[in-house]
Amino acid sequence: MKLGKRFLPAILLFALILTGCWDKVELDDIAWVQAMGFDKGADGQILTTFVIGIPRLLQGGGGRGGGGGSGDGSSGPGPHHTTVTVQSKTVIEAIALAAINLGRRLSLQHTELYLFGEELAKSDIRFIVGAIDRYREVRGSAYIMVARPRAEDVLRVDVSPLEVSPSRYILTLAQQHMQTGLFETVFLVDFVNSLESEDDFPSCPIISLSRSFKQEGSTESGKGGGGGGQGGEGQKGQQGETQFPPTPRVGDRIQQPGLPPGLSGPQGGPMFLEGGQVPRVGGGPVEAMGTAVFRGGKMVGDLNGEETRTMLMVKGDFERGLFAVPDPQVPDQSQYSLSLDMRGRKTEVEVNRQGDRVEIDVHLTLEVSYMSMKTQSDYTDPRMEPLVEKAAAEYVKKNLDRAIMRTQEMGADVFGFGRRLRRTFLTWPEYEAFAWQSKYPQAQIRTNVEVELKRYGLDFGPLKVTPGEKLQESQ
Amino acid sequence: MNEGTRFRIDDGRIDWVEAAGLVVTFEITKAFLVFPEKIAKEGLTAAWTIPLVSGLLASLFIWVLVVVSKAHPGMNLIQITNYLAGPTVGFIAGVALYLYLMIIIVTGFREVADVLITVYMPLTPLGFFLASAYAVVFYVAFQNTETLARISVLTSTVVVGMAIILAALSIGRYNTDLVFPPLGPGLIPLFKKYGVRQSIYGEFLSLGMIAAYLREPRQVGKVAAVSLGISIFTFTLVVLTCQMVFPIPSLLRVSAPFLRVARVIKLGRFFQRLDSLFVFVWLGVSLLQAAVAIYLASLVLATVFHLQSHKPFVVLNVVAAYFGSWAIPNLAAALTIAFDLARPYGLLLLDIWPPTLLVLTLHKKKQLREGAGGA
Repeated sequence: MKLGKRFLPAILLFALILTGCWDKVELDDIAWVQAMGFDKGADGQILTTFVIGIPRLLQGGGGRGGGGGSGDGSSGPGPHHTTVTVQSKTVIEAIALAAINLGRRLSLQHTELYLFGEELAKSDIRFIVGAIDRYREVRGSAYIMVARPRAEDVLRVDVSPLEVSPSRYILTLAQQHMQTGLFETVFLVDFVNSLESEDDFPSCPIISLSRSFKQEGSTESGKGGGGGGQGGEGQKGQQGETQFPPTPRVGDRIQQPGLPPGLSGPQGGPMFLEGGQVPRVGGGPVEAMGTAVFRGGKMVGDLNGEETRTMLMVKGDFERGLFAVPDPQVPDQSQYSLSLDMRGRKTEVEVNRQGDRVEIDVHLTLEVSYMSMKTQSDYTDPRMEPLVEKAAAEYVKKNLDRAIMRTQEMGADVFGFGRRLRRTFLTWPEYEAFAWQSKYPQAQIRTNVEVELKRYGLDFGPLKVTPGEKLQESQ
Repeated sequence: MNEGTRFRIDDGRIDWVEAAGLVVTFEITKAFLVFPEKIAKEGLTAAWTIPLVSGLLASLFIWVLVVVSKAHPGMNLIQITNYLAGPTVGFIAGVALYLYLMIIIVTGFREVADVLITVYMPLTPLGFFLASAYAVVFYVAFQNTETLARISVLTSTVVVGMAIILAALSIGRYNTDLVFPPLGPGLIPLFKKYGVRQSIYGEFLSLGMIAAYLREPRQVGKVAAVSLGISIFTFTLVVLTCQMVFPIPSLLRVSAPFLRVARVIKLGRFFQRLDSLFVFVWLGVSLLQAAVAIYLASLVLATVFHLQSHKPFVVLNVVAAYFGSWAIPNLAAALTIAFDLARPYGLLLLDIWPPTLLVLTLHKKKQLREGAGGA
């Protein structure tokens, strides 16, 4: 008690003084930036796009974007955020330039996403990432992504039919990394660490405007904008920003052919592997899929969704994913693919080095926790299980080998093999002198994938075809 | 015994837990800011072994300090020096210890102020922040040993607990590959660092000052063992955590790595922004550490000048520390002064002073035995 009495004045004094004048923050003096995007501007300048939440609209809940920017929030549902794009010499200058337009100080304390346009990413983003990383308000736990084609376009669309704010969408989208494995989630801190590391190359997910959305957009601009009979809810915002597309009309169909050339799976079937290329109608205008691969600060290529999954498996970051694996008894007919829910179980990477020669053995163990089949073959029969396990393992191995080969061509080890290589050296100077970045393309990498069928779902065997039905079919 | 040197500063009595809390608070507070980066610069991938091995090496000298303190119960380090080597040597040693403590306060608190202003209070003037903080430090340092020691038990427990919690919550981000290659800069450079970086345990000289206030003077060994164990553990944990989150090129660039670790912990939507907890605890313990340092520096002066109370020097030392912290041009300069000058040279105090006193103690005992035998 006596002790408390002695220290209480000190605590009170300190609290009283430090809450004082200079750094006081009034919440309604701040514009809270939810996401930031960067694109190449004219004359080597940067275009920075800010997505800023409008708290008074979020407060009411209920309505969401699509109304085309009524603006006051009281006359119907409108976007719960606004965007502003400024051109500047540096990123930090852009914050000041946006503030003099919005009339509020911009705060990055709650920024969840930093998005880089593909064109800018292919030039060099090291200086931008460096500037962000050292800015005091920025949190290392914000996500980094590459936008295809441009960050400003992706940030201007109303991203999701389900979420009222872009930041909420970013969070729920990131969770799909664990559910699908079709993209990775990369924190700013990890990206920066990789950027200056000898042994781990930077990578981040790609978020794209969907193919159907881009086509709709171009059609509309040909028509001169407006709703164009698409439900009459307005396709363009007041400032020309494209809002969330309305629910498709009855009779709207996925445009055929579904896939552009080069997007077929290993067996020739459609694999829907690239973000923005998934054939669909309705839904939101963006998709996150695939991985942007960097060497230093420059994007040098990308991995598709399936390759991204194998990358995550090697890194030990693969949680689960639904795979369409060719039926081992009819491997050439993709329409009979097996549906497998595979989960990562174990990753072993062994790195051996003799002089400049590096040999890497990768052993992945996956397990299947759900399976559905489209033929009458009963793969839950213990005698048939090895067939499925082998087919699934071959499928993953094929994708893994292709991913490794492609990254070796790019000269970018996004699998983190270099980190394992550290263990083969005794001192740091020796390791640095080895210069793994230059050796990766020549490394011998052997892969081995093992799949274990653990569970099948709630049924054994496929749904049976009755003898009468069989007879009718044969006739 | 020279009674002229063995006067009492009547400042309360503490038990061994409180004494250990005081030493731990004084010692480990520096671990949470630039410390991991400085250690990583020297040890590279083997950085985490520096606090561990240096701590074990320093334990030899700390053990010597314990033996000397035990041989002279109720006396602090300067009183022992006065008694064994005379007041002139005692005065010189006292002034050296005083300067060492003041440099630790001045640079350490400038480090705290700079990081806090850079990250959280960019518009607050440095002078104002330092004045506010030193006002609290003044108030706390004005208390007696008993009060400081009791509050130190609380803060040391909280700060060590916080370090463990943050390290545990960062496990998901650990990459054990990052502590390889295991020998960092190489065996010989590493062993040199082990020797020089015993200096991070220089604050253990405070043990020689507060041993005089122990209710049971023989428990000084227990105080040293417990506080050294906690300090080695905390330093190693903090450096290891930073190393496994930030790979070596990045760790050499980041100015406050443990704070950055706290800022990237994200466990779902609702379990993040733990740095606010960290900053609160860290600021509190930093203030207490500065108060302990001011108290010890004042105690040193009181002993040197044979005063019965440390309090007259508290005002002087707070004013000196305020202007000292303010006068340092920037964080980089503060770190250079602390890590590259004060600590390495301060190591001489730890490595030479107690062993010299031990030799003199043994010599004195031999003289007394011979005197008694002769009589």
